[in-house]
Amino acid sequence: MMLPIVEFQDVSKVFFKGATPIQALGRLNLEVREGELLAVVGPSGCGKSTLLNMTAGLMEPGTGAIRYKGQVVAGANTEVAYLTQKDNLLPWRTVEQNVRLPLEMGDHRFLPEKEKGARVARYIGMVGLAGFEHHYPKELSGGMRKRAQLARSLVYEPDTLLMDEPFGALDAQLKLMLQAELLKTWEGSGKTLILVTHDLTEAISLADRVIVMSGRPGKITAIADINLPRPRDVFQIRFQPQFGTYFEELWAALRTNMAEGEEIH
Amino acid sequence: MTSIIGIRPMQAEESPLIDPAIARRQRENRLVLTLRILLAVSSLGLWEWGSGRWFSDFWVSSPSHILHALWAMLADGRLMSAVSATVAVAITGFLAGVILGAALGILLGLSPVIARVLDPYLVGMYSLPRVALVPLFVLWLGIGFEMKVAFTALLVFFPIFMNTLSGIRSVDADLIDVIKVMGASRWNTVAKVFIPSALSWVFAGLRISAPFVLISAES
Repeated sequence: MMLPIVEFQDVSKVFFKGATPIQALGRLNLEVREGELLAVVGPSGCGKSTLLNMTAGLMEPGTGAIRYKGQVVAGANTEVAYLTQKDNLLPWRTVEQNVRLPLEMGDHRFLPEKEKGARVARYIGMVGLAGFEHHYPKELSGGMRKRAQLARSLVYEPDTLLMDEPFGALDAQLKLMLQAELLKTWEGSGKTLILVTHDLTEAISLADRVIVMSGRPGKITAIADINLPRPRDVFQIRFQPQFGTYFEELWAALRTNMAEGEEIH
Repeated sequence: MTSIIGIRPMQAEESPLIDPAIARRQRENRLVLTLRILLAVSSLGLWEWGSGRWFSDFWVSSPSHILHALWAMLADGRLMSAVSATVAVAITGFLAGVILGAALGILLGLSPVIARVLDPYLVGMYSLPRVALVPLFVLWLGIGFEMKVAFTALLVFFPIFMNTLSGIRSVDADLIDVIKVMGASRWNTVAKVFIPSALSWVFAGLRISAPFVLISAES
């Protein structure tokens, strides 16, 4: 059973730069399957983040509709978690208090206190931060802050994770480690994950499907099913011959888009 | 694990080498401290010795006279009553300024329309020299406690207000988005993000405005 969890139907979006309209998204049709890990790659300004903002209900489409589990998204979609490039932890709260934050709001605040405590402890443990509950964000390394951010997003058990270049600002080794941890957490969780990235290697290593978007106006120009076996090892997977084929073909699609994007500017 | 290409682990050196820069820096620190003390002692000594010799001790007193006077005022309680009056003004004015500044800063930070309406007037008031208002304050409130409190509050108000406003405005739009999908209501974002974020800036404002408090409370 592969019901689409997110559907984009004839979606477009215009932004204004002063008085000048800029077509950010062209006509976009997309179905995201429940439980898949979908990576979105494309040049900067191609509307990748716009796609996530609309799924989260933080931005309305100009034309068309976005449906989440068959319902038109109107207002903040509280069944998703949004992870931005910055960890956005609250500096005046400890790790534990940061992770608890979502359980103080919305419908989650009615959960029994015992359940809240258990969840906070479970997800802090899952991301490997046990023992750091009472540390403040500034006392943590960049990688630990990303882990805390992930725990905070998982703690209210959303069906879908929206990640906007989550590892974009990290160094290469840390990135690999966090990718491996993300895969371990996601595989078998049944959650849908939409990952916006500019890193093609990251997209192929992690995703079930990769979509390539063009520069403004953003459109989907290529879709690839990544048929690499799971569970995956992000350290090893890039040395498989198939990986190279995916990379070459997607890179070709991406490069054409980038050249086009540059002409527009 | 053996390595194919011959990568081999290196052993860490046991004892670290001691950089002579450490000792040099320590010597420098001692020198600075010594010179500082010497400067204070020599200038006080020069002042004491010069008073009554190079310049009249009627116009410029000497450190020993000041110490005597201080002692006398401490002994008969005049100093303590003056200090406590100043401190009372300082604390009351300070609290009033902080509360008003923080409240207005939060209010304007959260409602951009009101902020835009009031912006030119606030800038106008901010650029007004505060001392120019003293005669008005005297007319309205006399020269007693209330006037000093009002003036202190006015001095404290602006740094606190400006900082609180910056605090609210510095909240990352992404963070608000992230929290909205967690199910946050408008009130949640205010109570859990905007106000705590503004408070850390209020404390920064306190440091800026604290010196003003004593200056104006003594007036």
